[in-house]
Amino acid sequence: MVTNYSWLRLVFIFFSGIVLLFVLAPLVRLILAPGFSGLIEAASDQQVSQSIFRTLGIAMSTTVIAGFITVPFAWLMARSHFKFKSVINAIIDLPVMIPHSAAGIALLGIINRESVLGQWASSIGISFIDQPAGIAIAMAFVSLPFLYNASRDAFEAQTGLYEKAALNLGASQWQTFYLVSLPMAGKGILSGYVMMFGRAMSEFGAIVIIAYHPMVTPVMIFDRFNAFGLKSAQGIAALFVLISLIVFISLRLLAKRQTDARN
Amino acid sequence: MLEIKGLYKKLGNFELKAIDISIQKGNYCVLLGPSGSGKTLLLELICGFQKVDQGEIWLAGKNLTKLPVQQRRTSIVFQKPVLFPHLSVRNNIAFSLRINKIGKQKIIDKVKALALQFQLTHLLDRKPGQLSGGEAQRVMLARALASEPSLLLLDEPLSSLDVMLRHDLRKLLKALNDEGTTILHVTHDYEEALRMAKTIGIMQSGSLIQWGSPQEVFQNPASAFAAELAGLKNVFDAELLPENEKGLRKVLLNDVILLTHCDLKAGAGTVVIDEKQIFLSKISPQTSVQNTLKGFVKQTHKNPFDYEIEIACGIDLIVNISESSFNTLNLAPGSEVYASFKVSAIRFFRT
Repeated sequence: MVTNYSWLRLVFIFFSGIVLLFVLAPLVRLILAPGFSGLIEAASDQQVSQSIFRTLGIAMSTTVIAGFITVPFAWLMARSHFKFKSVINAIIDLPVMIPHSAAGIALLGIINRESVLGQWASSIGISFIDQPAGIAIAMAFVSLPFLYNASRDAFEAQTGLYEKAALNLGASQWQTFYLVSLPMAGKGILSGYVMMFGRAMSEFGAIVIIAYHPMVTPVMIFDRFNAFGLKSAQGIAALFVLISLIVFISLRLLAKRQTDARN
Repeated sequence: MLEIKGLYKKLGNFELKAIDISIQKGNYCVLLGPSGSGKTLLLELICGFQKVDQGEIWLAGKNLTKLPVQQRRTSIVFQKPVLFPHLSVRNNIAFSLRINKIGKQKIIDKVKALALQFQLTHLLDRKPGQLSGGEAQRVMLARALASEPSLLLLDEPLSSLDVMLRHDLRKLLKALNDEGTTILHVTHDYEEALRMAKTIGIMQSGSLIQWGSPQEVFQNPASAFAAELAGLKNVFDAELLPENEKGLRKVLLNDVILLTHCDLKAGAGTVVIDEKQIFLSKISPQTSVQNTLKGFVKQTHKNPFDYEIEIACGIDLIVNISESSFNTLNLAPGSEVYASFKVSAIRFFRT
């Protein structure tokens, strides 16, 4: 297929190799370093396995709950035209741009026990600091833009004609949304969910400020590294990366199967 | 059936002005106008995609003006097929039936009947992405009719199709109309209007400037614009006779008989003779041309590039000839002249 091995092409291939190597080398080294026994050892540490389940569980719930309200918001933004639309889009992107520790500090400012929200939450028995609810809030804050952007792009890619057609055929606004707009944007939204979930489960900076305990795995890796050094942290890190890989490949395959079944 | 009274809508800089339309049940009405004349906006107002500023829209005795889109019982077919890509052809057609929670068996029967009518039976399990343009527009029509609308709105539904498919779809639309479906069709193609319409409306920058039968509109255009839009000069009421002669059909215009190619059933219609294909001579022409009419020049008119001659020969024919031909033939009002034209210069339209 490629017949034109011009020097420029060779240079580009060389660059591509560097980029790939740059991403892969530390990860491969990380997974190989502790060896199989190291992985088993990390997995049999009850604190580690609990932390992995906790991380996956909270990330999953966060993604589902936050996604439930983010997707309609993305639809609304895709279909609306107003003056400050780009400002709102930029605001949603902010959590991705700022240091995550700063995001944590910002969140702490409004959910601490003295704040209005914190007091109201504690009056109905919810506490955020050092609690799964706080972890979820931190995860949602930094990961939401991924789902929002992917969903909005997917909705914007459809012309409004499909919705008009559905309304014209007698569908209500809600039926039009879930029978036409949502399935048509399905591929984009699913990939947004995968990105959001990935970002949520790997979050460290914002979580460490709001909830050092109970430890999610990224915090535990940091904690072990501080307390016991590189060797001790490597096992958990390798295990978590492996599990992440398995989760993502499965989710991607699942998303692909879902969209393939439709086309 | 459809009554539009004093409809007004302002959209940005564009205004749709004081539209009054009345369409009887079973009519096939074509709104003819260039792009930007407000045709599509009018359709959007009728089916409720846009809010009316002033005026009223009534359909089958019901005031639609403020009704939500879903309750208007109008179905629209867009210029390009807008089929839901995630649903099979079957489920696209059944969309409105499912929404209305019609029984399962009824849905199956109805989809089957529509598929048969629109020759879609072999395509029912396909996804829209696997259809050709013509197939997709047929599915659009089947889907639009599944909800049994009181009025079918067509927004240039043929313009994205090639000639052969257009012909097929026109036949389908005609058949639908013959079965009683009331149709409001917008287009910028006068030939389409002439082929399809029982009533024609001409739209120009937001106003409806003419409304009437194809004969009225094409023979007596309300304005130069309408005439230009129609692009026609020789339009006549005619009757297609059942007889054949040398494989050709006879058409009767007043008491003149002409020959043409036509495979329609005998009956009334409209004949258009292309003025560019009419040849004039002073003596009876010895050619293979099938139609020759003897008459006299009624009047002549000089255009910038040619002469327009009106000839009385049982019908009043308009012929354009070059200046040199005009001088050679030495034509003046009262001159005897022969007008001849090929069978292919005549087109018969059923109206």
